[in-house]
Amino acid sequence: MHDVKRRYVIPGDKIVEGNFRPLMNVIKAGNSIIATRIGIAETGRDGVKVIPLSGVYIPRVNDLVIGKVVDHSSLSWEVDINSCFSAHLPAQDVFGRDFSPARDDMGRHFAIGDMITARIMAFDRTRDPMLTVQDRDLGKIPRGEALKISATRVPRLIGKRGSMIQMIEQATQTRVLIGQNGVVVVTGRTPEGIKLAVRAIRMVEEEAHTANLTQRIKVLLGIPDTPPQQQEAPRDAVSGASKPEESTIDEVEEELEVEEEK
Amino acid sequence: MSSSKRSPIIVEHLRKQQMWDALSRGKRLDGRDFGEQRPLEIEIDVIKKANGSARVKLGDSEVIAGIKVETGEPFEGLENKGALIVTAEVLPTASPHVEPGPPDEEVVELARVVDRGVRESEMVDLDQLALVPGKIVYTIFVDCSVLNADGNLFDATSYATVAALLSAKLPIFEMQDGKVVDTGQTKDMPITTIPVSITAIRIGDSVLLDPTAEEEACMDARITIDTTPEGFCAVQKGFAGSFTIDQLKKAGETARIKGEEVRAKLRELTGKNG
Repeated sequence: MHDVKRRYVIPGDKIVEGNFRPLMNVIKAGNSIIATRIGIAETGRDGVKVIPLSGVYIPRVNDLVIGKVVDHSSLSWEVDINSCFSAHLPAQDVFGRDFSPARDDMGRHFAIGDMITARIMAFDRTRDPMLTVQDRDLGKIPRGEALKISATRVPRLIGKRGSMIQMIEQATQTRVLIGQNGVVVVTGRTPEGIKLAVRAIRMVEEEAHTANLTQRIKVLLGIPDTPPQQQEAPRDAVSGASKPEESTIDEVEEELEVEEEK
Repeated sequence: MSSSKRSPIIVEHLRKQQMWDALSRGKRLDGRDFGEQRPLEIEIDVIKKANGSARVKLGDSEVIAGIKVETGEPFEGLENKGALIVTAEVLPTASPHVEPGPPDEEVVELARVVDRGVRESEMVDLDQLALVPGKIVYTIFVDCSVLNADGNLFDATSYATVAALLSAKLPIFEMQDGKVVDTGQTKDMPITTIPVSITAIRIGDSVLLDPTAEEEACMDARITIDTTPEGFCAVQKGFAGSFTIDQLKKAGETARIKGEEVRAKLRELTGKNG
């Protein structure tokens, strides 16, 4: 990440000329690399990519997502994952390999309208993404307040090593579950805490691209200025964060650094 | 004309629970009181080529209405009256839940309920609109397009229709040698009264005015009441649920009070009395 050049681009902008590898949200036309999304162009040793500032969620294998069950057939549930693709959760994933549509009652597990946390098991853009709930802390979400933010804002909401979300959780005494697809579920002891957390999350969403955001969130939450030692605290200790969430953070770490440095 | 087909909006159980919790505390999810309408914006004469037009924003719901006046044969049984036809469509860009396709039940109902409000209130004096009684009469087409659908399309479309009719200029046609000729002059639409539609829904034991799309997705029953300054002129009850007598009486009273507020707004905007 040393000799990386960054600048804002809009679709159609020429990012660079020469023999570079197109990585993400760019196309190669002749000898030039052209942006296909609005965002920050990054020219590195390994290639050229654009980190989008807006847009829908495109599933990636192993992403942790929060979805809404919208329908079911006799073999699978259809899940709305806030994307242009609708995901499928096969009934076999829940009931095991000997699942029989005649014997097993799918309604016992997930009903239409339920929110679930799931992991993307398979996706290759030619078929709809396939989900799994076979992991710790995956499955139905029993309570909480759900809200949607743009999927491109998720890294900013989490913050470097979870700093932002950890700050919000601590200050509002809530627990915030974030899906890579931009769906967020807030649970907490008091309605006031949840309300404040939601306001903070909305603020992060709206002002993700601006400088000094952390400072303004602190003001909103009423946190006095403290030396940054607080941010070093391991996430598990304060909020009981689960494994899946941590891996979510790892995945976005790289994108995060860009967001932070802006 | 494009048409529309709608898929149901599925509200998350978590969100429903939130809504019920809020309702039990006497508030709605968007912070409104039960009997509070969303902010209403009405704009008239938005389409220059139409004989009359209006755009209405009710919260995030947005409807545009245009009026075209032509001549034609009268309806059977109403030979000495002008013809009034209100149509409505929900554009596929209005909501992610709308797809292009033949109009579904809800859209047909929308057009009919709006049409009935205008017709039964006798807002437009159709007796004045016969050119050659029994043969040729004025035909008024009101076409409404929903630009953005966030619930309570009945009221938004009704306000757009009424505002467009109030602001419309009627072209003056004459018969010359057995042919209809447009004189190029216009006159005011013969308006007798201003009908106002007020819709309320029931979720559990709460009766909510001016529902959002999300609230409509959770409703047990819906009632639309059209009023004029003289009293009620049309009612439409929707969905399988029921209202108690008390709820109905209260809804009727609210429709009169809120109706008067909206009517005052329409009067002020168009300078018409009714």
